[in-house]
Amino acid sequence: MTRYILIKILRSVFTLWIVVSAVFLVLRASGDPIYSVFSLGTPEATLDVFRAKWGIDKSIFEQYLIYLNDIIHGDFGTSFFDGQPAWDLVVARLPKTLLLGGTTFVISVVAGVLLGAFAALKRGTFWDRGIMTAAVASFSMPSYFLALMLILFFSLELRWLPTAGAETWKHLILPATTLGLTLSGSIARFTRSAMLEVLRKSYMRTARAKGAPRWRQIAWHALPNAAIPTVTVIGFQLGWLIGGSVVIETVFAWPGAGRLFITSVGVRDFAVVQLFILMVASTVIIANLLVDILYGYLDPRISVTGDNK
Amino acid sequence: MSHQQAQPATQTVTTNRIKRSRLGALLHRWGLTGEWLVTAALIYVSFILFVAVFGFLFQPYPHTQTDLFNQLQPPVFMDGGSWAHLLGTDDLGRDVLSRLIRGLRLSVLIGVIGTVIGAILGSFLGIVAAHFRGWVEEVLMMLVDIQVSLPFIIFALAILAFVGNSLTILIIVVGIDGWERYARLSRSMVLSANRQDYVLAVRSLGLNNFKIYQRHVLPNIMGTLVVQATINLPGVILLESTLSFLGLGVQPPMTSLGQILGVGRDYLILAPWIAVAPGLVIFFLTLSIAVIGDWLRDKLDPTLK
Repeated sequence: MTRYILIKILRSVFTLWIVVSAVFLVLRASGDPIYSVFSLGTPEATLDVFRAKWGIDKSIFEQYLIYLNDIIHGDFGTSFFDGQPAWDLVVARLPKTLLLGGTTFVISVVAGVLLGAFAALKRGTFWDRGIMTAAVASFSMPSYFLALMLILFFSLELRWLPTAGAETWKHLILPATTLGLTLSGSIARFTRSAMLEVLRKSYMRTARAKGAPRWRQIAWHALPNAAIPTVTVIGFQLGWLIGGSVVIETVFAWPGAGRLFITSVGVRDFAVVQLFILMVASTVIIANLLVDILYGYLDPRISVTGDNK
Repeated sequence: MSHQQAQPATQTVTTNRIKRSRLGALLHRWGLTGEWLVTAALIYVSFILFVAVFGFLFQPYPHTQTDLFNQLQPPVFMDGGSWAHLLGTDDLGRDVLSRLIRGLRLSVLIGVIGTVIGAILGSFLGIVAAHFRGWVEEVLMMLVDIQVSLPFIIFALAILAFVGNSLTILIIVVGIDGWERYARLSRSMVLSANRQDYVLAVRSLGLNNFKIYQRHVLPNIMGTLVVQATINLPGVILLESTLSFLGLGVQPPMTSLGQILGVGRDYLILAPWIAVAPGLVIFFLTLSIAVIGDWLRDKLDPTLK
């Protein structure tokens, strides 16, 4: 088990390094970033001062080493546009993003697992087909379009809910619903197939044969076993959730980190963009590491094969 | 007399029956009996493809033609709408239907080329991983893991903003999304193919590796890869539309469905039709392709999950 976890941790560190380098390549090595701030006619002397200040007068390799060193020491640079440390800017926006993401996550996991399990139990019926069609529809729907339609109906037509902002709990309803619908659709689909797999197993027949009540067969024997593949999938959905929230925060003018990312991308503020990507990457990588470890505990068979490898 | 009168009646009945049964036989032959959802999806996708290819012939106005006297005209079925602009006009008085036809063409084009790029790249890397095994496979599979877990749209936005934005870069970026699925799939299929007798046979006959993959392995795994491409296509279309919606995808004067929606967002109160029309087109398009993809998968290759 320790070895399995160690290998996973090493892999995660290596993954993080690849992402950090990829970010460097895309953001820094793709051209002289000075021109994203200054216009082409600016005197060279002024540019040189700023090149020296931001450390982009050195060779690419030197810049890469300095960049790695800074990151290891927790220095993520300052925003080109308001001169504040990028870290402060992003961290100030995090609580709102976590609020939205957390609410969405809880809603969609509960709804997705319940609907998926229900569809599996009612396999082949009207309910099954209905839920699965709704699931496919939910992730075929462009999330921003769904958001606009909800705004159109609930905010502009019925005037029940606010269109933008994040002052009260009412502001949370529309963005969380939009994000949650898509996510619960894919979770429902995975739960259903995991559940169907489990229901075919011999231990389910044994449970039925020994006369366990229906609820106990489901809650005690089926659901925990179906949870194993579902947990991994939910772990993978985290990245999707972050990507989706970037779009949804923009549509609803939700003052979170995702919206900051979009505005920073728009003005090419690379310190902020870089920090945001690194934060997302490390969050997702750590979450996947935890899922892997959790997986090992939920299903001891896996860590055994991990050892053999 | 009565006999003569009855004749044409029976004839029409028979022709009707023949027609119905011909259509029925065709549906049956394609495995579509009772699959009304799939049939509807196929019809819709064919229609969209037709509009994407030949739509410019029916385009009432050039998609960039502005008409400042007719800004924000509602569509014909709403109060104040006119037949001059079937789906109304936008903030600059441009005809929404014309823009829709034009935007659809670019969205479909980017979606299809992007999917092909992703499929070729991914399948190639998958075959490489399966052929060389060892550390090559380890590294490639690690890249696959990274691609699966990270939200690609964030990278796509950063690339488009910092590396630059042109149609070529957009298509490549959109195409990269999803390569990992082909890579996984082709890797596992090539691994199993390499153990099978037909590959062992041609290998022992001394055929070189390139020929083995090109002539023998690839034709065998092609069907599954094509099904996977169908399943990926909606995701690619959605990614392009999202990027364009956020203003970092297709740039004016070109237009795509997502970009029209981005404009429509600012006029949601005054002119909801600008956003609703392209949104519905995208939604039904991605939904239809998803339905067809699932159906194809179940039909042709039950081994895929």
